[in-house]
Amino acid sequence: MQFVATKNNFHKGLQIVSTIAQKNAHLPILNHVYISTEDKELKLVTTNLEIAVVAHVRAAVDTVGTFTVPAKTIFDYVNLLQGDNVECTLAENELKVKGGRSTTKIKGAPATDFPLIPPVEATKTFTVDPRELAVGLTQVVYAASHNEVRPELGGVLFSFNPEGISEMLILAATDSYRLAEKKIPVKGSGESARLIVPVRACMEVMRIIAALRGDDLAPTMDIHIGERQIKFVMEGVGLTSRLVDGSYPDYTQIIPQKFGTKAVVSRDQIINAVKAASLFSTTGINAVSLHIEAERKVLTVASMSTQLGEHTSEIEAEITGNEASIVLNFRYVLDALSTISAAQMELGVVSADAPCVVRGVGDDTVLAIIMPIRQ
Amino acid sequence: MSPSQIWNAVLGEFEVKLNAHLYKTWMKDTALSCFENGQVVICVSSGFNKEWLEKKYHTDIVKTLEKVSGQPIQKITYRVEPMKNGQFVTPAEAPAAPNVAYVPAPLPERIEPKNPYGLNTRYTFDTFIVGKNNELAHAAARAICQRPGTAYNPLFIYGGVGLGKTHLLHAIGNEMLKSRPEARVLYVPCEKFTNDFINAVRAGSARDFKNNYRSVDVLLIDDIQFISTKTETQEEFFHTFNDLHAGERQIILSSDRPPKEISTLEDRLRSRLEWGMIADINTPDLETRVAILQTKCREKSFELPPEVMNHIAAAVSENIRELEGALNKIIASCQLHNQKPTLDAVKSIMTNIQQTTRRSVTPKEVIKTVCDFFDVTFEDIHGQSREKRFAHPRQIIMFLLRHDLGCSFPTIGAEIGGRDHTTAMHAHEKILTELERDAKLKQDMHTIKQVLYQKV
Repeated sequence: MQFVATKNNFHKGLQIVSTIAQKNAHLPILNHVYISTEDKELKLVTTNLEIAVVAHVRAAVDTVGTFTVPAKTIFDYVNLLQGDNVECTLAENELKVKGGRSTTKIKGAPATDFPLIPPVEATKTFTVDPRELAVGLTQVVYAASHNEVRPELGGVLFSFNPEGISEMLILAATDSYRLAEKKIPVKGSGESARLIVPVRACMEVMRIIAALRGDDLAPTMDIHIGERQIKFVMEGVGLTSRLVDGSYPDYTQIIPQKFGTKAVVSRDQIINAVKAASLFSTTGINAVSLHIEAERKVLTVASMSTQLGEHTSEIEAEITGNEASIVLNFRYVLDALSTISAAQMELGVVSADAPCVVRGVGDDTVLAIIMPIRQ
Repeated sequence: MSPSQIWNAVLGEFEVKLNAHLYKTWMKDTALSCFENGQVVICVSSGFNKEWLEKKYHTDIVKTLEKVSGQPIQKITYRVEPMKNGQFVTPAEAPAAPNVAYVPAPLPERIEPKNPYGLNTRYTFDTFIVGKNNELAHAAARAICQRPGTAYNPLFIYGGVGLGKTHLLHAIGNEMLKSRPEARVLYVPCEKFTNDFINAVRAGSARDFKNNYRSVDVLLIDDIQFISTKTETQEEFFHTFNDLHAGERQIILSSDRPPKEISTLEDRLRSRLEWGMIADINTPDLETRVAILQTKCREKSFELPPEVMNHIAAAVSENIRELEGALNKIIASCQLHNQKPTLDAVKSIMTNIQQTTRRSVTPKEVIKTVCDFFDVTFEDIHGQSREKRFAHPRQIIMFLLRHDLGCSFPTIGAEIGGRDHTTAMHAHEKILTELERDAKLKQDMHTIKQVLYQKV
């Protein structure tokens, strides 16, 4: 195997694939990157046996072959290379990497031991804008559960063209204390599909899109759905992941439709107030109380800790409805506020024991629901 | 055999053959969900797993399944199924067994019927390696094949675990069939005999059972020590035995100890077992072990330098199965890491093997095991009496402490009631020389070690 690639291209390819390659006690080869020049193109592959990432890199291939080397080593090394081009040659069980005026030999393992990436036999294919998908995932993925008792909550729901709504992909995540939902446009055959993608795979998709930001990011991304598998494909990059088994709970029934009180506040001000109040909330409970006064047109954010002291701040608000109070976990509030980007935020409260809704004014695509802390 | 039993046996083979990492990653979380008429469905936990088995292990899986089940395999389907708590769950919406449009594939021509005699054709005299340890048993077996029913009847073969009793039994059966293909040969493990009898009685078909067992020309029963304590079973065996013996039909039995020591045996049965010829199989000596390794290497077409073979043979001395296991591990490891089987490489692989096969024992356990074996108390061992019934176990303890646990002589002296280190040295030397010529002591030592190292 022998090829020459520009340092930038090679480095970018390694950057895309190398985070998936991690130490595995059972199968040491999983921290390697699989390098192939078969079919006269340079292909890099890593996997953790749940997710596999493939990157195709532009390169001049001299001789075809396959090999694997530790991903982190070659990634870190290529980053440090001088010169514009990198030349790699396979010699027995070492990969000779030459760039600028330095040469190195990286010990590796034969590619025959590397796991085979299962092909996704797509039954349905959809197309999205990767930028929109990345934003959408950022707005929901934080709400997914880390608890392993309900594995179906440890993923993000992808609901393509749900009943009655065409050309729409709904992303949702919940840990049963809070929930986030985002709608983004999608193109494709118009069929419906409802599946759960592991959080780790979502994070990787976000990371890869972020890494390609700029001139390399393709305008469209194809999503192929096979049996128990999903594949995200952009120009030059593919990510395959298993799907989470199980059926996602029907969360739509808990989204409140009618509110007793609605308050519209400036996003910056409420973030500030909640952050200030968070300093004086009891650790572990993380409670901050919100009080909405319709007559004075203020939203009061308060907290109290027997050890640390107490805090109160008032924010101007446009209020419709009655006076209301609710106690919330400040982390959940901040997670929701920080991912929704609108100048004005709307807070909808039903009662002190019912879930409340956070959304951006003028942005109907995203919403967050938070369960209150009961007093 | 149920599918899960079959699969367990297959997994067992793979666990030995594969490197531990590969086994855990690719084989551990798999299951056999369907095994019918050569159609097999294997459940795996992920697409990666499926891909790997299909592309890399498929041929091995087919071979092993055929070997374990004794049936030809026509088609294997690999299916990804969700797992919960280590168990595969078939989702409710998954289609049930595909009974619609299910056309069984035509049987291929190469099908061999399951051996009706219960014999494994791989076990023949050609693959049986004769050494000092088993030459008597081997010669007796050969003689029987030439003059069945008259040479030695019954032939009783005994010896420890994994020394080749079963191999010899199968070899006799296979050889008989070769010279006289019309002969009715029947090989059964003792447990099957017992089960057949119980089932026959329950189903009211005792006559069929009698016809079945009493019409054979050669009856081979493996592991006779497991014969039930139930008098009915023993009585049935007794009558079967008499019937066959009177008709000059050959009976061959195997056991892990001589008839005298099988406590569950009734006297009249025991005396009958001792009637013909009793041959023992001992642990093979170094030369024989090397010869075994050479044959195995040739079978697997893998080359080992002589000094490496000597090392393996010296390190694994108790059990041929372990010897073969060690060799398999070395071959697998060398092929996996693509290294030459040099002495150093083999040594490092062997250290792992020894750690896993030998339970580590404490001096206390040694003393307790030996005391139990000879039925003496801890105080007797500690005491000053030099009666032979105390002194002998005491010496065996000292020998084991030195030889197996590697204790120093002064430590041994202190363990055994504050004796001088020279006493320990004498005991070690004495047992060592006696082991050379005293077969009874050798047998005892073997049993003690088995108890000692197999305790859970």
